[in-house]
Amino acid sequence: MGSKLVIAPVDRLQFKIVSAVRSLQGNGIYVSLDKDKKGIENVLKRGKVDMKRLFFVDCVGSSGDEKSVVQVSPTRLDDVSCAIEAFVNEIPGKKFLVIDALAVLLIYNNENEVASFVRKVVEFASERKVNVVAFSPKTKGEELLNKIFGAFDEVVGK
Amino acid sequence: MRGVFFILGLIFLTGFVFAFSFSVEVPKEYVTVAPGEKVYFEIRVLYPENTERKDLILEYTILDEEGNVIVRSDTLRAIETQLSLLDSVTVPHYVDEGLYSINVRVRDGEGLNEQVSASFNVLRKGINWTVIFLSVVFLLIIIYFGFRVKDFWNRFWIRVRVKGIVRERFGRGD
Repeated sequence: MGSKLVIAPVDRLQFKIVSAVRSLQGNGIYVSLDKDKKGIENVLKRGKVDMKRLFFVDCVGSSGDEKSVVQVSPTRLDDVSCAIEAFVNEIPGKKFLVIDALAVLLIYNNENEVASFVRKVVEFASERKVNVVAFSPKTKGEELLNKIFGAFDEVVGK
Repeated sequence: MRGVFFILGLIFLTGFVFAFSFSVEVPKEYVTVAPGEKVYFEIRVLYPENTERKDLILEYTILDEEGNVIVRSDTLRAIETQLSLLDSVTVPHYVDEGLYSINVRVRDGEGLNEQVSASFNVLRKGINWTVIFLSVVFLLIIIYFGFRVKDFWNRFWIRVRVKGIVRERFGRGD
């Protein structure tokens, strides 16, 4: 139980995500900031992840065709956290939250907004005993990463 | 005897001449108007010796302090023994501030030709900053609540969608 920030080189990031999702128990909320649902599915299926365990918050796709996905603009951090909170409240039993990849939010929002969003989400998840694993490529947003280290119980790869 | 007839004749004549009376008055609330607004005035005509319906031509003229005609209009009104009406003339946009008079001339085409006048002021109204300020505040409040309502609906639909997705997956009926 807890929150973890995984910082990895870009080429190792997908491997880290797949292995983390496979190791986490219960149902998961996957917040995707740099791939649409199909892209993530391809990666996770290759890693033999059971897709039925995952619910997606897609911040990339905008087609609205996917019925099982909540599409939210990455510029609207309040909506992203609203979607996360709604999934956490609705999904029964043990659950986890994956945020991939945190630093992408910096393209659309300023550092302080992103830091505040991360703290809010991590705090909310911790209160509800939801495991949080956030991923970020090593090369991006180092300023942000410095600001949000404190919000996580564990930081890997700093 | 001739003296009596003379006196009766004099009374009859003076009574006849002075029986027709006519006045114009600008009501208090229209004593000051802005350019482009209407100046209202009340006309009262008493014509007791006229026992049958007659048409009167009422000619309205607005004059400035120098007596220059600013605007003129006329209207036809029927009268029997009296007539009372509230009418108006629009003060042109281009006039300057100052004292003006509304002149009303009454004619019947049979020799009746009387005129009276009343004065009024034209004042340009200043910008009402209070109204502008309140309008801006009101507009900002509307915009603020517009965004708040939009955000509220966005989040409401996200929650509804999430609920639908989760229930579909787990097949919960509650």
